Amino acid sequence: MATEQEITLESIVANRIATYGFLARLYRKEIDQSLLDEMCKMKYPTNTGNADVDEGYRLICTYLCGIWERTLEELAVDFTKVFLGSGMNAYSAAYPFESVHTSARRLLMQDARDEVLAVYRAAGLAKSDNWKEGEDHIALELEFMQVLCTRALDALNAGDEDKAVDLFMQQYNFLQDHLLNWTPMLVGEMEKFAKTDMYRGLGKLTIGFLKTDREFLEDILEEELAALQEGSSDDDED
Amino acid sequence: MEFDLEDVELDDYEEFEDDEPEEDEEEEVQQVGYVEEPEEEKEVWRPHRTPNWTDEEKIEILVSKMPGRKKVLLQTIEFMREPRTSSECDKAIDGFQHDNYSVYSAVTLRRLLEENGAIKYIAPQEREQNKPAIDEDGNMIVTKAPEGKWVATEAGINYLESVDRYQELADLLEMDAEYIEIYKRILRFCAEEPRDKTEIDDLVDDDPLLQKPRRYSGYFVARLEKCDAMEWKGDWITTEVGKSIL
Repeated sequence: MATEQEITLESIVANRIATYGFLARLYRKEIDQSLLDEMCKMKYPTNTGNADVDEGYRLICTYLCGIWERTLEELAVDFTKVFLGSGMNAYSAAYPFESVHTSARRLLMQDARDEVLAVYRAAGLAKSDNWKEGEDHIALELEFMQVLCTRALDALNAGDEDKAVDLFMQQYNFLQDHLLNWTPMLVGEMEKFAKTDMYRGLGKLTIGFLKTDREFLEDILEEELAALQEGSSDDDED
Repeated sequence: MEFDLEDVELDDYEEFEDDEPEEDEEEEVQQVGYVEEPEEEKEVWRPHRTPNWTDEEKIEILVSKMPGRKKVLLQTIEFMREPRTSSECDKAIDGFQHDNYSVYSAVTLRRLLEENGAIKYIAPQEREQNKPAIDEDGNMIVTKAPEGKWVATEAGINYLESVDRYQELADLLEMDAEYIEIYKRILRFCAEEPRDKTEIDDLVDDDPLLQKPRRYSGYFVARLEKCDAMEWKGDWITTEVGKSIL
């Protein structure tokens, strides 16, 4: 008889760490053979409660069922097409930088990049020497969420609930102020430029997961967010 | 876990300096005139047009541009006289290149041959329709798509049969007739048993024929390898092509 896996807050956070890490990797660079092999061994949920997540998993899993000898080449071409484009103008690709989608002229290294840089610094983080792109790249923003989740899990395992709540709040704020502010636009453009179901699926999975994660954090932080809401209502009345 | 974000010890955070330009600052832009070229001197750019080569011509050009891979390419086309799966081809091509290191993987070599009309891919009809399976927990799992097959085209076979390695060796010996004795000595030596480079050096390097102009064994071995009279299998051996003139 199969044993049901106990669902605890820790296990949910562990799953979130894995998902953020997985998404960050897919945006960071082209899929290589070892990642492709790993993805073929993964299990893809069919009914998560979020239609975008379900559709994203379905597209990715179905794509992987049609692998042939040139799959890696096709994926590399699609990665370039989707995220780099031909570079003719600011509308040639789904540029994976927050600045592009939140600045008037779709430029890199704008206010959004400065803001996330400040957020990273406040969390005691900086980009490594290996990373040559801006700090507002989707891969880095997703990785930032992964780091915060890892810290939250460590806090939970150490019994430090206050610290865990603080870290959940940081995650919620970052989702609201940054990730969910621009990824809907990114995903819409990925849909336009992607030729393979891999990258179409990635877009769906990303937006679905981020929205689900926001719901999860709103659940966990219900009291804290309500208190904040009351506080800001009192300020408005004053 | 590999991260692109690192933990750092940071000093107090400093705000970014405001480097917006002053309102009064204006850039001066000068209009520079130009002299228009007279009509007859203007070059008209035309896009490069690829000639309409036949598949046989394209294969020949491909092979001529990859002289170090010629034998492997011919062996690959020969192997695909019958339809072969991708994994069978991988195994065969890796074997052909086992003692002949190449930056070209088996997949890349197949792509080059396909692009130049030497081979073609027969995709399995089921590949596009292959769907995920569902496990006992209701999750989708990846199912492996059936493999397609590779087969040599008519142009590939025609090219293969037009290549005459024996004639290439004969042409070499005719071109380098003054060294025919050296070539035969090396082929005979390596037909007896596999030989390393030092042994072949000792065999011919001090021969009076090779003093002026100065030649070394490598000059001859390279040319014999190019026409498939010798091959490297951990040591140098004489092939059937090479033995044919002994």
